[in-house]
Amino acid sequence: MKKILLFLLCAVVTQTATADTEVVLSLLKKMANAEKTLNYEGDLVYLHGPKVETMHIVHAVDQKGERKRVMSKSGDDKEVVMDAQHLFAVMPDAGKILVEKRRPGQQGQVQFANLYEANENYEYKLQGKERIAGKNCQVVSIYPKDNFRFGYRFSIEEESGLLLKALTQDRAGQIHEQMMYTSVAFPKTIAPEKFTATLQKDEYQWQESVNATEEGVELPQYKSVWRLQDLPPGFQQVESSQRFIPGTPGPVEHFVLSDKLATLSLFISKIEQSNVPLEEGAGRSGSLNIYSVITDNHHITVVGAVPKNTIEYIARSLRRDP
Amino acid sequence: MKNKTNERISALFDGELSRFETRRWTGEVLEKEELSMRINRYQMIGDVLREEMPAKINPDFSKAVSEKLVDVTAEPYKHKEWLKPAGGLAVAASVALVSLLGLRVLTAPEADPVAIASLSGEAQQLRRELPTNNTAPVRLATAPVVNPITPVADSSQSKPEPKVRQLSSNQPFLTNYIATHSQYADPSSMMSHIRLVGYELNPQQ
Repeated sequence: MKKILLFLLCAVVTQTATADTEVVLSLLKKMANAEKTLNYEGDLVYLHGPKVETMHIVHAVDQKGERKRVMSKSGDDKEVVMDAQHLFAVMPDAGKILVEKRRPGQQGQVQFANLYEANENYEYKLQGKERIAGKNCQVVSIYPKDNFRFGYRFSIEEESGLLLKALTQDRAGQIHEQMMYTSVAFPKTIAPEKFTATLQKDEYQWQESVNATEEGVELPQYKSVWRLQDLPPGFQQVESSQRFIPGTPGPVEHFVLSDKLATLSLFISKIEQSNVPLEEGAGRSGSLNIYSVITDNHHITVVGAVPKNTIEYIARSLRRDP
Repeated sequence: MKNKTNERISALFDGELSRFETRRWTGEVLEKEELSMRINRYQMIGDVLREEMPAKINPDFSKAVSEKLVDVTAEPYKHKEWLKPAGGLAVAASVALVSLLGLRVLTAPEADPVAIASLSGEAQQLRRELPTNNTAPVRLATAPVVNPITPVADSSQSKPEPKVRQLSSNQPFLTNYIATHSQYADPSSMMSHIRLVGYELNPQQ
């Protein structure tokens, strides 16, 4: 009798989990689609560590393609403007504008995250409903099955699919960052001037990062001698390229790793090419962790919204072929 | 005045402010650093009230986060939502188990968060309502580990972890790395751009 009850209990749990997963995946797909195809404008609050900031966001898709602008409204002035070809990050405190060419075919969607299939490293749960910025939202949770990755809790607007509240937390339940809209609108058209960077000044230095591999720039004798040994479970290297990144005089090797949901970047820069003292150590900003180490006369930096230990593990798993 | 502000912060994160009030008030309040800190604390309290946080809370939120980052692997997997489908069976089992053990965990002053997390909602409610005494915590049960693998920090638990230096913000290429990485980031591209705007290395309180 006990065995039958246990079996029935397991069957109910498994069936509910599968049903939850399917609904959550469908909502995540809707969310990813809404982020890149809708016109939307709103104000949001962003909490990370001890910092609380308010931001304004505007996004449109029209004949000029996809455009987005995110601007801080409290704290340090900063803004990010994205058009169909480029992403500009205006950093007035550093007196510079960072320019990134958008990846071909990216169009706002994440390149390596697969939101359409169940990821074996996470569990998906429906968590009921709540109202955010006057809109009805479905709450979903993505739990990490181990300590190598963070979990997410998303409140997705039922009608549009837009993400209106997001929370990143580790497996122990500690929250690392939160974002919540306080107002949002879905206008049919958005005036082009709303996508003009307002913080930029003529004296700011423009720093463009160039992906030499994608641009077909010939680099003398480029052959990576670096390989990643013993990656954390579920993570794999999904891209490698050479870049010219301002602030580092020579080309930088850039590896991208992903567990199909979280993505992190590993940068390798030759030490003698640097004209600034390079540091080893760790840093963080919200859920973003950074770790730098010096190996074989190279400065290695790993960046990603994954736990600090994962970042450090990956940095230390890099080996140079003799 | 202070009480009114506190009420509004609480109402903001509980979604109880009208849209008009929210818009008017957030702009005015979030400029003030002290109030920002209070928002953090209130958000945490709200999460606790909604049972979204573990039972063991460090009142110094930012310190707790950094401590947890170091100690993350010491915490076993313990999300309690998996119990929900079991419904009444789980509740009955928990209550019975609690009764059998004489409510020792429930009345412990610093009860094991793992044990608490493994209790049903009703049992946790019971725990909150009971007076505390000096009974030592007892681990009732742990939630199942779905995919047991060796966590990162497990290998270092037996030996002291070397102290990692904090990177300083005078590494000029770091923001460039963050900007490059934002093109590849995680489930929401919106979040990666919000992170880029909010980027501040090791923010201090």
